[in-house]
Amino acid sequence: MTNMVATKPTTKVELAAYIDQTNLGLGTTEEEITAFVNEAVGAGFYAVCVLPNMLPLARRLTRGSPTRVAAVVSFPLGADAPAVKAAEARALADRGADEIDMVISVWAARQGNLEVVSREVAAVREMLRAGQVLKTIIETPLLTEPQAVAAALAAEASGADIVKTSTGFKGLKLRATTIDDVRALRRVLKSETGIKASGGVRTTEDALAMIAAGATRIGTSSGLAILAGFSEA
Amino acid sequence: MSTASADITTRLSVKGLATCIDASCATPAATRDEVAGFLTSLAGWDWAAIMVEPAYVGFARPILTEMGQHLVTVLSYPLGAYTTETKLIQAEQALAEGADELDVAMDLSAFRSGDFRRVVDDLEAVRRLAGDDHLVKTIYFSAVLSDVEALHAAELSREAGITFLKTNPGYGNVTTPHHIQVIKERFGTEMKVMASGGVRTHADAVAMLEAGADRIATSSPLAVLGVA
Repeated sequence: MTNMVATKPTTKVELAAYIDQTNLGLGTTEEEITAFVNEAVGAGFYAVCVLPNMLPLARRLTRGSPTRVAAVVSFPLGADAPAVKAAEARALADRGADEIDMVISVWAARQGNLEVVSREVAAVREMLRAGQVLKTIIETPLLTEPQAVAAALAAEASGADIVKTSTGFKGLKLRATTIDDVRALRRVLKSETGIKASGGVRTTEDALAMIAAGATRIGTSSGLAILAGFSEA
Repeated sequence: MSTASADITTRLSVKGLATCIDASCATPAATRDEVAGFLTSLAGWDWAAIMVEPAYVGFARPILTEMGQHLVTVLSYPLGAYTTETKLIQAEQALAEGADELDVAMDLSAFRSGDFRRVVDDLEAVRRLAGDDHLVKTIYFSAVLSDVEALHAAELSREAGITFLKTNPGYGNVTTPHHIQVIKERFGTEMKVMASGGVRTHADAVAMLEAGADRIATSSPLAVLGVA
């Protein structure tokens, strides 16, 4: 379920299969989300990633297509108790989310309190059915490399399928995810654990560099531009 | 008018100003030491309330009880996109851990999509859960609304039983004195407004109070008082 695509994409179809096309904007309208999802389905992206209040609409619009639907939990700050994250995950799983992108307690990762991270990831995992994919957003730009690695390992051990680098939330003015962020995670995570590079991944070059560094998924709002810039070998 | 001027003079004294401020802990992913440091830096003043994110309520409560301060937290923050059921669980947990006030972000997508019923139902659910003992404020995102939309959002909040507005969640959404005037000219004392987002200095705060703001939210409360 973690689309283990180890090889380099050689066609647009293969590249699109790496991409979670993302719209997590403030106050996006139903009309805007409709256009966004239809476009993503047409382009053949692996998944669309939306806010919780937009999940039912995205679910309806992707019906009958292979495009999966991901929704975020505790986005973008991650500053909720494990029970609250689990409740949101259950609400989204019940509404048909194929994938959950949850923000971990970044504060706990910063202070080395990994027990909190383990507990919340396990609590969210428990709410998901077999086949529903769990991604954990560790917010790498706010962490040192050792903190990021420790958080990723704790998440993996507690049931995360994929470790995602960043929320890319504009309000926090975060730096972009780098290939070094991805490499550091790839070095320590099991080969079956996916890595989603997200946050400032905007160009074809960025996306291919992330994949070469070990990313199995790309989270971006620029999926169409990334595909458009790709020349098939 | 003379009462209003007397009132604003009192509120512009350093002590009076503090009582109009929700001092907000906004360090991204603050560790407990950082939260505790922020809270204790506020000792010595009576604030309207002190805001911490939901994950910190249980930790901050005993510290703020010791300091004799009100605790406010935020729901569906800062994008206003959580499901209603999760907002209620957030609220329940925050109240159980000792929050005095709740600032709930309006579902801006529902509002901009014209689904006003959903906006009201969502806010009303939080209002009912909080009961009469807890103040609830509606964060209505003034920075991205026209004046007409802002007034409509205020009406919907009132319909939901919430008569205290908070302009913005911060995170790049900046409040202007005009946002406050728009609400105050229409609603007067029937609707309270807290100016939140981009209020960083003493001059910013004075401009908001002069425009009619009932409270200010700021993550630099000591700078606003002029004692930092």
